[in-house]
Amino acid sequence: MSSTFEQDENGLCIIRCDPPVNGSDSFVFRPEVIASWKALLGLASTREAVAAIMQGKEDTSRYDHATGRGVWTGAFEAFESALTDSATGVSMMSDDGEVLNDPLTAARNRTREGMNLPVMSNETDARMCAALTADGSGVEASSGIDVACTRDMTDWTPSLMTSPAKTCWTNARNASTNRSCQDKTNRIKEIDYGR
Amino acid sequence: MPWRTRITTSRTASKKSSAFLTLAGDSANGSECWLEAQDANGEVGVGANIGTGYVYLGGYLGGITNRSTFHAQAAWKAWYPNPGSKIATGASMQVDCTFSPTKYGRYYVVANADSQWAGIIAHPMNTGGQSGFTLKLYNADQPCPVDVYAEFLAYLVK
Repeated sequence: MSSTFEQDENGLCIIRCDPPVNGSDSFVFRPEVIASWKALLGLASTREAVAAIMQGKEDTSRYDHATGRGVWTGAFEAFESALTDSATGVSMMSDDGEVLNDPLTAARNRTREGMNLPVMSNETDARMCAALTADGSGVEASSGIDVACTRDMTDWTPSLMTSPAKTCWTNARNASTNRSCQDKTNRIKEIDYGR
Repeated sequence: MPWRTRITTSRTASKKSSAFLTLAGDSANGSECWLEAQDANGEVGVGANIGTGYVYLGGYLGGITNRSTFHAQAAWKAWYPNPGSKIATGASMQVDCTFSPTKYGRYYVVANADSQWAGIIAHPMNTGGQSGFTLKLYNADQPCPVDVYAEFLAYLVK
């Protein structure tokens, strides 16, 4: 199995695979897609985002014709809530210490299911966010996406040009990481120490 | 009585560009509106005139993040023969095209091959999603010795 990762003169990312991955010989997307998918699905790295883009298959039967809502709508809403901090006050533990489903993780998981991608636990999401906020972490964080299809990617990092969309997503994601995820890391620590 | 209102951001020596909104009512040409940004090289924006019925658009096709009405880009080299070889008659290939998703609505797509070779069939499938579609390419012609580019326009519908 081999695949090539390139960016054409217009900045378009093109991955060509031989043999095909999930039936497709190539994958085409603009670099800002990596940023938006990372933020909305809680993906840990560019490699994991590329792997998700290559393996995601959207379940269009979940689309609601009356409201225009689809598999991604919930992830947008939860992400926007996390940015405005309305999720921060939510208690993460029930009385018996069981970890309750964090709304952002739950919404990301519903979107992951709708894209036929693996879901993650609250702990995975928190660990992943902790790794993202830790500078110089040599370990590549994972949120559970199989990255075997990116084996030939090496250190391919698509140049982001100067896309306003990309900047917007990066800012949004950093804001989310610093606020709600930092809190989540602390909450996970509380759980560990509390037992 | 014809009337005209124009709102323009300040244009100073340090700010060499500006934006304006013009509303013109009941003029000889009918009523019209313009929303544009401009600098020394010209203007981009939208305009509409009810007298003529025309709407005017100028500028590269972009989109508002999370709600892009269109996804489009320059053609890309989607399919090509190996060096010294040709794309066989009856060969096919498949391209996954992925977008930054829309929060609401879904995308349908027009797509085609862009090539010197006549008998390339291209069509989209897996449409109606919020984050992309798949493109099918097929060589229904003699063995193809040239590059096959592809292009598409995805449009947001409810």
